[in-house]
Amino acid sequence: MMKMHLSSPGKRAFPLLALLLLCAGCGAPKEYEAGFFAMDTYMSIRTYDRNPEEAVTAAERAVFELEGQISRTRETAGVARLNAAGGAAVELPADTLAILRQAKELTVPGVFDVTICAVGDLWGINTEASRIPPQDEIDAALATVSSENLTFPADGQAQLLNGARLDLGAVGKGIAADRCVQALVQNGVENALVYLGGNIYALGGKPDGSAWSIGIADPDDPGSYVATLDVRDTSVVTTGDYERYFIQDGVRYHHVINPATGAPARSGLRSVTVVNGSSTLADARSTTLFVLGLEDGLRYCAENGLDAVFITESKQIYVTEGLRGCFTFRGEEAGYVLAP
Amino acid sequence: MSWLRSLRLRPGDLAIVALVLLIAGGVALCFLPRTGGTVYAEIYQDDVLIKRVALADGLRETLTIEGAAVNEICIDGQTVCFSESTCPDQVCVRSGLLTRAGQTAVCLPNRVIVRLTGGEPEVDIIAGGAAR
Repeated sequence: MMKMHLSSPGKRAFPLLALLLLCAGCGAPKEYEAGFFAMDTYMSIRTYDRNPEEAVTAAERAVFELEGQISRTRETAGVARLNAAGGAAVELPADTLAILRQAKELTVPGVFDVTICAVGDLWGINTEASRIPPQDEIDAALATVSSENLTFPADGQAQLLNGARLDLGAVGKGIAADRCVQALVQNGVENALVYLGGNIYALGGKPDGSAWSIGIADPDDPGSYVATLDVRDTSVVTTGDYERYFIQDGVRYHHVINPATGAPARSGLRSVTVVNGSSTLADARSTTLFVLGLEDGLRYCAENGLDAVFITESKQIYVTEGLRGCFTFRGEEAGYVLAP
Repeated sequence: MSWLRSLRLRPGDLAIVALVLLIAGGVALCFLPRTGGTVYAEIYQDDVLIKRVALADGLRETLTIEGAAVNEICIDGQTVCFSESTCPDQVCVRSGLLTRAGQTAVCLPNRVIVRLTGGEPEVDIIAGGAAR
């Protein structure tokens, strides 16, 4: 090892210079945020960890790769190819097949089903073709809806029977959030806030050691919030009737279709927010609980160990027991009431 | 602390210590995030910042941004909103008024993002609503 010979003034200055460097390095952690458009929505990843660029790039890549598999509109995507196959078996990559199996397992008969595509397309919510479809068209489309129609006839293959088509919109961003977090962690980021078009994953905590503070949107004014959740290492996903919808004759027709009726769910809820370590599960179950409604939804939570926040049309907010410790009600001014 | 005694500090050295701490403090301050006070509206299209303005009472400005759709963005005092849009989904207009640092509204078809920064955000992000 090379030896340094310092003169007497040098010896005195050395610790002082070291102190200077130490103090200068004590500045507040720098925020790094990357935003991007994918899966028909805006996404962002924010972190205060050092040197996160590579990890964030890997996370973005994970989202784009997933989109390339589950998109309905990209001709090369596995889901698009399956939908276009006219009932024939389709060879798919192992990862796509794993996603499809996972999506099928999340089925709650008559409540949550990823083969809802044909019905959703009839309504055309958020497109120029939005309309109230006639009942016979709804009935015909409903006949195709059943996750039993998604089969795996041979190794490496999937098949859609009875005219069924897939729409992974109710789980896609959840899967993306989980993969984002996996990529971040694998590349050394331990703290980040992942926002994928409403699906949030709070990884780790903030630089001061506190939890991330997540607002729950006011359905009447989504830029504001009616409660906060202080969480770490978990996903927070909201399904609501207030972003994608059209109004006709004073009735709001939103994008959450009830597979039992073929129409937008009328469950008395404005939104459901699910908090779970798996963003995929949180995504699927926020839709499930929205369709179930308050009473059945609360029962489902109790039976399945799920935590959620329900906001009703009558401005009541219900919180499951497991969230009481991190939940703060902030909706008084906006006219909301926290149920006991 | 024997190393400290071994330095045999003189009065002039203390002045150097004070100077070093002052400089270090100044450098650290440069890296501190801006807290309190002014909230800024930042408007991006395709990830390019096209306007950044400090919100203030009495400020009134309307921007028209063209692309796949046409957005009209209204800055009024301490608030910003998508006042009109030709996009089919109208999600941007339905985001309503942005009034607090940390709020964002997005027009996906036009790839326009309006974001309020600075100030002291009360929450880190809003689930099911405007993003940060």
